[in-house]
Amino acid sequence: MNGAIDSLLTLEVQDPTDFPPSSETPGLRELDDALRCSICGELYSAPVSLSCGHTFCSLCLRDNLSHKQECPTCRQAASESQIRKNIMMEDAVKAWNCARPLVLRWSKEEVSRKSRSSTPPRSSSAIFAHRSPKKKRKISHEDSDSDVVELVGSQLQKSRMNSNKPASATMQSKDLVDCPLCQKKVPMKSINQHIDAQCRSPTSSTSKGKQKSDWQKVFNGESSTSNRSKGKEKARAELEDAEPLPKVSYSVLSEKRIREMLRDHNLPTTGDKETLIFRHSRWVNLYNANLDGSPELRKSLERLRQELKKIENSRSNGTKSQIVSDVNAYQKANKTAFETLVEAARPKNTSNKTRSTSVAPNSSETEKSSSPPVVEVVEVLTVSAGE
Amino acid sequence: MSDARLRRVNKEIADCKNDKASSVTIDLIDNSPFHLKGSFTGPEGTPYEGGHFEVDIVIPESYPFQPVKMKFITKVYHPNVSSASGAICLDILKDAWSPVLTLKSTLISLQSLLCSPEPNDPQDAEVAKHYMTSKTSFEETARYWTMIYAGGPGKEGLKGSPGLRDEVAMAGLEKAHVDKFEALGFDRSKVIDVLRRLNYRGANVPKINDDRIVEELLK
Ligand SMILES: [Zn+2]
Ligand SMILES: [Zn+2]
Ligand SMILES: [Zn+2]
Repeated sequence: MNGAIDSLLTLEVQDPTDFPPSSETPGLRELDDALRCSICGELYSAPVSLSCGHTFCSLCLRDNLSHKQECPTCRQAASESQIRKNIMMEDAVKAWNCARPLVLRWSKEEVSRKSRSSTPPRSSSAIFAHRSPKKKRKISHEDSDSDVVELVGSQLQKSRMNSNKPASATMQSKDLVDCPLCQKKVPMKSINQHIDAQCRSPTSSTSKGKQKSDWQKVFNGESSTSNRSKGKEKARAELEDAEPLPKVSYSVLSEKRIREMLRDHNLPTTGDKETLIFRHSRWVNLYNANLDGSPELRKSLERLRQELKKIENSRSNGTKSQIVSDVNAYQKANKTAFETLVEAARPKNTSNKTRSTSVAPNSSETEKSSSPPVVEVVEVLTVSAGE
Repeated sequence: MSDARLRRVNKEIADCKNDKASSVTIDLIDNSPFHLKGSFTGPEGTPYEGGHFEVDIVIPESYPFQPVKMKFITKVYHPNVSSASGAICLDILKDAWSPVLTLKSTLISLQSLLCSPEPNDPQDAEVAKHYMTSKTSFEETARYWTMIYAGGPGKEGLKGSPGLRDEVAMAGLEKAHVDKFEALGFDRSKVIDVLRRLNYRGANVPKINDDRIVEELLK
């Protein structure tokens, strides 16, 4: 399982804390946070809303509703029929995805510029607070740290409620994104071409013989239905008015019937009933979530099949995870791997934290009380934060 | 996306590492990011104060749609924690889980579970009975466990001599009671076992007559 720790270390994760704290660049972390799904922590992909108003990635929400019919955030009863596309959120995320690397760079420049010009503060906070963000950027040496602290008050309270987003381990160049299929780093500009070219060499993980070859047939176009339907399918997936697949009550269906349904979608039919149900239900979620994205962002069915294959592989790997009886001994033996991870996490942490404490003494207190959006737990957290 | 779980766990681990102000920590146990060790200090003003508590964390394949699996590695004397296995009875680890909860928020919930036991929904029935019968006696025992297992205050006197561990205190019993039945010729550890099972504490003591105890001891 050495691969896991390697991918853990090299995995590029974007996170609101890539941005300087509110005390340095008010609102940027909060903005990045507001555009992220609280299930996966990523920027929304095909965002959808429930009738309570909470928004998630379509696939995240659909996968969750397969487990539990409630809103993950407020626990109101929820079902697939409530799901509505959130087109405006999708536009906002699209724009932010594009602007993020630039804003990130600006925000770093702003911070280093500020630290260079940390001359005695001037008192112009009232005026400063009323300036528009655009104008603020143009002020070069007039604004001072103390002005910023005045602005922070309201930001801190806001971030108190939603700052439970995890932080990323490393700082990376934001021009590279990791391919969702093969996790290789790919220049953002060419990610679509890369994916369309099927990543050149997909990772050949340890899937079981028969199932694997069955998947290969699917991708090589050897299966019976694939050749004649391929061209049509792709067009259908990208069609704006494509219909979502209905939910299926698998318990009333025979294994044979589920196999037929898989065949209809050009999916492998190997495995026991549980595997078949898993495969089909995840396919329905992938398919329907894909339709919740705007047509130009939709993936081809071919790519959805690859994603389903990866999901299945990680599922069979996951169940094999070893049991460790003597935790402490095991940890000692693996100390180096662990230390590498800690080292990877360290550089960013120190730079951000020292700055935040020197400028706004309250901010560490605020970060400590980070709380999940679920109400009951919020109360609990406020108690423990008081210690 | 199949790496969604890995990505999310990665973020969660990094979040805990970066947040120095947090009272909980998460460490890797082996090379798997899906088997971790959480730890936190016992809350102030409780019998667990000053202790260092470790939790085994297993992230299931369908995380975050299914709850993370957590159990105490450190032995804890608490109505909602099995004193034998460390299994935990807490709603968010079962039905009340939500995928917006995190490893960190869940560990903080465990920490606060130590502040507020729920004896009506126990994991360890014997411990829960002890708690209901005499809270003072329960807290004494919980404090003793914290000292012995979690490095809590008072350990200095016992250092390097685990043989001095007081089995009567471990069981939350009174020495006089144990001595009395031992004097009847029964094995001391058996006496402790029986008195613990019968919850021979506080207001219960006059309610359980000696014959009943002897009967149990003879079994
Ligand atoms: Zn999501
Ligand atoms: Zn909601
Ligand atoms: Zn790729």
